[in-house]
Amino acid sequence: MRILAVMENTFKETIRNRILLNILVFAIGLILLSLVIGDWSLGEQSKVIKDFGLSAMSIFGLLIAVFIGIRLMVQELEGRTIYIIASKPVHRWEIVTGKYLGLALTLAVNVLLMTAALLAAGWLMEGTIDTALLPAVLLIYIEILLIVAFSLFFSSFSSPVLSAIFTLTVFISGHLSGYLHDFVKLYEDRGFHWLLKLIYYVVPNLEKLNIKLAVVEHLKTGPHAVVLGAVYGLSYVLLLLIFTSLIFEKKDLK
Amino acid sequence: MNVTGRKAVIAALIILLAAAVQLSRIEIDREREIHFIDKSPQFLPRGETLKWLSMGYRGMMADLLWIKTVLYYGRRIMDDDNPYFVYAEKQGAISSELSEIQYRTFDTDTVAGIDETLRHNLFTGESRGLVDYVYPMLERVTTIDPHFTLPYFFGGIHVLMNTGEVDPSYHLLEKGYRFNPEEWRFPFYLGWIDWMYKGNTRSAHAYMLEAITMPGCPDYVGSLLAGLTGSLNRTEMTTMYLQGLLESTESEEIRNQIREVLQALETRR
Repeated sequence: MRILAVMENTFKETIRNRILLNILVFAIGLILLSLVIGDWSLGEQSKVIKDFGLSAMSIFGLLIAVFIGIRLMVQELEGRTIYIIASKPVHRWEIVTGKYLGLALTLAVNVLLMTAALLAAGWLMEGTIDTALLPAVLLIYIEILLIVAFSLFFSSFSSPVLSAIFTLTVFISGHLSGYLHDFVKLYEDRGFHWLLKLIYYVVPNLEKLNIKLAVVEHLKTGPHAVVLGAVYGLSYVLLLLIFTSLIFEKKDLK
Repeated sequence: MNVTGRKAVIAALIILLAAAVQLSRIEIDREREIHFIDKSPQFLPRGETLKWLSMGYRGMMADLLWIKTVLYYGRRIMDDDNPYFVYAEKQGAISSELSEIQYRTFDTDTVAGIDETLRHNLFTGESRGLVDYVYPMLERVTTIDPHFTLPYFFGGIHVLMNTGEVDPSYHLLEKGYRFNPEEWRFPFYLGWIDWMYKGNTRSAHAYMLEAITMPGCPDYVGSLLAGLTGSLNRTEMTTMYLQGLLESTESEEIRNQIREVLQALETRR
């Protein structure tokens, strides 16, 4: 119940955020703009709309995760409002979890709105609603949740600027870690392979949550790609929330 | 300085800067027209690097490069907007009164006083400009998104017809076939280039045979194969091959296609 109260409060707070509104308007604008851009593609409008739409959801979701996720705890600490919450009979891990779930709910609303815009654009173009895109949308949402968890984790022990840099680094290396794996396999040991392997296993492989191209082009993704991707992403999220809570428990709020 | 004087300075500064922005833009456009943009793919990283850089947004990056290619191509074949044409016109080398038909057909005597490079680009612009730009761009698009089939057909067939460049077109279709082995149009068009451009009927025959066994392959491909086989006098061999294929194929759709081809071959005997 206490987690729900923090969650509800965070949801109300973040949903009113102007940055969120601006990003959402840009994202929906880009999805609608893809209707025009697709017109230049020599008959591949439908593909362009889906590619642009799914990418817009992912990119703008990342921006929300970085901009709002990092501020989530920092503004409570800077504004000293954390003392009000901490003085109530609520555990610190409950604050972290409630805050995270509140933002997750806000992001879910955003993703739903962007999905509606994308499906509407597709419907305008093809006359049908392409539900095959939904598994990709689900994994995009999980990727955003993972990025939020990282931003919350980094902001629990570093400054907002550093947290943003760290989170973006995780995003970039997360999409490139597959190449790291290939590199390790391709070339014989040159003395630093243990480091590359370590990075590969620590940094999340965000490509495991990326089936955008596959759903747009109707490629086979493996029977359990979505379920396994979801388990992979959500396990990572839980792990990060535990670490964040542990750090927050130890944090001196004086 | 009083308030009015300060406002006047700020206003003058704004006008000056706006003029600088506009004048430099015009100058940049002129520079670009003179040096053209055909070589710009050389400054783009290779397809593999772009794939790496796209970080999970491969579809969108491939779409953007594809649209850039299509717009470039459109500009090159739309005469009024062809930068070679515009530049030659500005140089006074050709008349702006030239009609589209005249532009397409005028010979080197129409152009006077322009350098060799421009002369070359003007007359072979539809060919060389496309080859230098479009094929490298399509190579990148198809490396980033190998299952995006339209760029293969666009480069392999449409651009080929405008440029006569067989090798890059053939290479593009071969690459497409490698990544999309279930798409009948790849072996069909490869066979078609072998037949029409390379004069290699043996290879054409082999590709067409592959095409007709694939789902979605229309009837006319079978008729083409029958015609091609007739010219090779290899009807018996093809019939035997197809009968073997018929017995080993489970898909009723493909079996029907093979039966139709066999029937066409029988009629030709």
